[in-house]
Amino acid sequence: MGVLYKHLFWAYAIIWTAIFLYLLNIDLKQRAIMKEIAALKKKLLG
Amino acid sequence: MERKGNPASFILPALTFLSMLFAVYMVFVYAPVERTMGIVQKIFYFHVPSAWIAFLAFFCVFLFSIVYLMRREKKWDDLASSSAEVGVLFCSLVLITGPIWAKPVWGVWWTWDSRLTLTLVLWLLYVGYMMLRYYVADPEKKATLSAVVGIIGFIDVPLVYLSIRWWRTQHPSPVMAGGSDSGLDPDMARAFFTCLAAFTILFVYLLMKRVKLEKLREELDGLQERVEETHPK
Repeated sequence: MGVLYKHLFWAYAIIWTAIFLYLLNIDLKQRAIMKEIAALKKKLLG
Repeated sequence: MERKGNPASFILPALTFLSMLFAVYMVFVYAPVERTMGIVQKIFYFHVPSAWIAFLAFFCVFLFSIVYLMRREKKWDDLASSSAEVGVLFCSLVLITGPIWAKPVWGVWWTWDSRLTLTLVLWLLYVGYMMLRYYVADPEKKATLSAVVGIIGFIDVPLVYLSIRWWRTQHPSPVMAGGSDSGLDPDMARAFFTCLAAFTILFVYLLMKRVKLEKLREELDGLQERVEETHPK
C-alpha cells in the first residue's frame, strides 16, 4: 500500500513542479524583457 | 508580468487556479478508489488529461502551421511554436507519469508496446521541431521549415490515439468510447471530466502567456533596431 502512495505522490509532485517551473520560467523571461524594453524606451526618449 | 488594469490578466489565472483546485478535490475526495489497482489509479485523472492537452496542442500546431503557410503572417508562427512548446511539456508529463503508474500495476517501468512507442515518437518529433527552431537563424526559413514539420508530425497523433484500438497492447483498452465493455463509474467520470476541463483552461492560460512572451520579444527587437538607427555605434 505504501508503495502505491509513493508512486501517486511522485506522479502528482512531478506534474505540479513541471507546470510551476514552466510558468515561472515564462514569467521571469517576461519580466527581463519588459525591463529591457523600459530601458530602451528611456534611451530613445532621452 | 501582465499589464495592470486589464481584467483578463487576472480572470484567466484565477479561473485556472480555481479549476485546478476543484479538480484536485474531485480526484482525492470525490472520486472513489479503484478496486483492483487501488489508490495509484488516481494518476489516471492527470495522466489522461495531460495526453489530451498534448494532442490538443499538437493539433493547434498543425492548424496554425497550415494558416501560416497560407498567409505568411508571423502571429500564426508564434501561435504554432508556443503551442508546440506547451505540447512537449504535457507529452513529457505523459511519458513520466505513465511509467510511474505502470511500475506497480504492470511490474515494469516501460515496455515497447505500440502506444508507448508511438507516444515516445510523438515527443521526439516535437522536440525535433523545437530544435529546428532553435538552430535555424533566418526567421522566415525557420517559420516555414517548422510549419512543415508541425504539419507532418501531427500524423502521429491519430496513430497514438488509435493504437490501442488497432493492436492488442500492454496499455489498457480505451475506457471512453471503447465499445460495450468499456466505461467509467459515474463518480469517476465526473472527476475525470472536471480534470479534463481544468487542464483545457490551463492550456489556454499557458498558451496565452507564451504568445505574450513572443510579442514582447518582437517589441524588444523592434526597439533595438530603432535604438541602433538613432544611436549608431
